[in-house]
Amino acid sequence: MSVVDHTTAQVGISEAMPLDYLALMKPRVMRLVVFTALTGMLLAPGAIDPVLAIIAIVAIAIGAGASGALNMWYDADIDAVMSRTTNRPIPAGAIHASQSLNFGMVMSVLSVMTLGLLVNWLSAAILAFTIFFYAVIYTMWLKRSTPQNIVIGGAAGAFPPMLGWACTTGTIGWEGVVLFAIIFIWTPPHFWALALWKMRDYDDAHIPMMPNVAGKSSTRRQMLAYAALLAPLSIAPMLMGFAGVLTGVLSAALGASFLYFTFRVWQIAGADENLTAEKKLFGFSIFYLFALFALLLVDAVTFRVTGAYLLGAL
Amino acid sequence: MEYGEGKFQEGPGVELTEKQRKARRWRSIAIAFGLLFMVVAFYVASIAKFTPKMLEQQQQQQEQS
Repeated sequence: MSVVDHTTAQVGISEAMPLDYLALMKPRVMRLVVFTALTGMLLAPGAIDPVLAIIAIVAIAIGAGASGALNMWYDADIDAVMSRTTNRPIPAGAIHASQSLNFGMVMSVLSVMTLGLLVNWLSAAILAFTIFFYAVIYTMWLKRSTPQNIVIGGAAGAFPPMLGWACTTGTIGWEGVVLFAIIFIWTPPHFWALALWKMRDYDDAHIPMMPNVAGKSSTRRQMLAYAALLAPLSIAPMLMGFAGVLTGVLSAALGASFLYFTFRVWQIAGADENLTAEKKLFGFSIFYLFALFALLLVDAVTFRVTGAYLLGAL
Repeated sequence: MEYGEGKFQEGPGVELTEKQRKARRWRSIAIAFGLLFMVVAFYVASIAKFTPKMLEQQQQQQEQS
């Protein structure tokens, strides 16, 4: 049996601070997950105890963070190559990849078990599947093998509102599926807008993003198709009766604006070297999702407090 | 050298650098707060989950008697 012979701790002893572990959990993604899950939770019919609701949101946030840590563990090699990700804790040398794996696994188990024991097992199952889908299906399989990576992988980011719905009702309703569909259809134009101006990065990392594989013009056409699908989906909550008319009208404006920004990307077709249209679309896509779910959240709270939607329902 | 002979205790052992010591202390504090949060969350959630059912049962028993 060998004995560790170093007397000074230059090798193998971690210098990682708690904030490095927080960075592993992708706090920005966590914020979006919490926000969309909370919206789903409050839009759903029926009551949920406020204490259990807070615990559910924390568990969902930790579950999302755990999948981020697992993603960073597996993608450490390509994160080191891409300018957007070189400052992440593993390529920056703050945390060892194995620590990220352990942290992600422990947090995954803790979040799923907490949600199951304290809220319900359907939501725990959806959270477990979301973590599995993001870490295994997307990160380990799709991301490096197909240009449809973020199309199918986008499902992982689309589950949270459905998860929130399941926390309140213990079921998966059609309304939850619609919220899922909005984020699912939103993901490709959002990501490909970024991919169009980060093509060299993705090339260097050998990630088969759509612009690198199918070409820029094909990507822009596909983005336009997804945006055209997203516009009517934006008003589906109002049409299905779980959002009010005011939210419906504003959502229609958001959907139309998204379509316009995407149309400009398709129309300009890269003639502008700075890719301003792509950058504008990327920025607007983030605003679109935030604004749409904020409207739904306000509507849900209004309905719970007053028993009616803003400007009534259809 | 066999495990269990007590010879692992000899020598100076691993000496942590100041940075490693500080990082370990902060990680320990974070874990402590995490565990504390878990305990409080499970305690409060148990009360929130079971109290309404217990009150309901109590009311039913009172009505029966």
